[in-house]
Amino acid sequence: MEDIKSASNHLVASYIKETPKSLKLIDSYMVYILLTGIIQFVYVTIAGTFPNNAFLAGFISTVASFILAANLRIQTNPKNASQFPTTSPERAFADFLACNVVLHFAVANFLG
Amino acid sequence: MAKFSSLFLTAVLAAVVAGSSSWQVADINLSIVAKDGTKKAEHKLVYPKVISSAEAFAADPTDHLKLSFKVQNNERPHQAMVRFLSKDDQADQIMVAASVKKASGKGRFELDFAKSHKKFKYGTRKYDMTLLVGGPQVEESLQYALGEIEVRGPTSNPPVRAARVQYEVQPEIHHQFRPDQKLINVAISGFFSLLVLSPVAVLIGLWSQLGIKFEPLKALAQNPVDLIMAAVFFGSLTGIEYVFYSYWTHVTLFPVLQYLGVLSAVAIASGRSVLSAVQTRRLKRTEKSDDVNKKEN
Repeated sequence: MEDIKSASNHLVASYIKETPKSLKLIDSYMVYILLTGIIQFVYVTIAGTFPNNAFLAGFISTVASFILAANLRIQTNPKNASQFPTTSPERAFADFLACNVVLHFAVANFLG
Repeated sequence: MAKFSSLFLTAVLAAVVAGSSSWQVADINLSIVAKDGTKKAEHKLVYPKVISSAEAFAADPTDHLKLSFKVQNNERPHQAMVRFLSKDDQADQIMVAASVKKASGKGRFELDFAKSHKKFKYGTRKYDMTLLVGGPQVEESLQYALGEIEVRGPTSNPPVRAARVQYEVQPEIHHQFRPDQKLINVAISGFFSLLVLSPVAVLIGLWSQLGIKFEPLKALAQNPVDLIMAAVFFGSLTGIEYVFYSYWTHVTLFPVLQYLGVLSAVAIASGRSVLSAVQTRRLKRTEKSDDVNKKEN
């Protein structure tokens, strides 16, 4: 128990100190997406799935946004720069925006 | 005198050409013969004599009914038959044909009730017999009601009549529409709608905690082209999101696609310039920090 506590403290401290600000920005955005998805899921367990497409559209939009944010984080992390020689962080951000636009189109279509 | 004789001549000629006006059938002989050959009953009929029901003309299922007659016209009939019409509710009609010899005009048939039509076997019934003689040469066909006959049904294994289909009004069908699905209570749904927007507050809190520097804005203010491009970029992105919202509410697909085409072109163009500006700033920043590190080292 003590070990877990100290390990987690160490993890949190290291995270706060070492992670660059841009990545923390993306991380907080991912936390926000996660919370939205959890709240939607709790609602559907209470209210049932009628209308089905509305729940699916909302939930899948949170999941997909989370995945896109994770991709952005991976591509803009300076430590991974060697794996992405042709993709600059700006390019990654532009891709992120474009994919989000497509996702929002699909969600608007499905939302009904 | 001449007129009268010519009229008489035409009438005679017409009679000769037209032929007889009705069928003349004579020597009608109806008899019931038992299986062993003995005659059970016999009637010699002359039109319009009828076998009445009082005379109890009856046949067992094993008997034969013999009919013979002579057609006295010069012409021979195409159809000569006896129609049996049952006198009960079913009113079955059974036609039994008689063969007429061309040479003599004599017609006859011998009806074996056991081997003939199935309808004779539905039980003991009374039938009205009618002799029907007809053909194209004679205008008026002969319909001679011969009388009544009782045919007894078979004693063993009587056939069963197929049930008659009774078409009548069926009970009315009342269509049950599926009841609408129950929607959740508005209060709960409203509460959760607000709850789902609350993580935005969490996001803003986390972002403010990060301590973001607004240095790029100062650089943008100095360079108006960059500022305009940035405004256009964010404006186009907001416009795209608004188009999606209106697509959800009321607009159909094709106007939406047109708007999206225009707005996405604008977004791509302005986005490229904005992001390239961001990249030059980042590279300058890293160069500066590299120089500082080098200096320190």
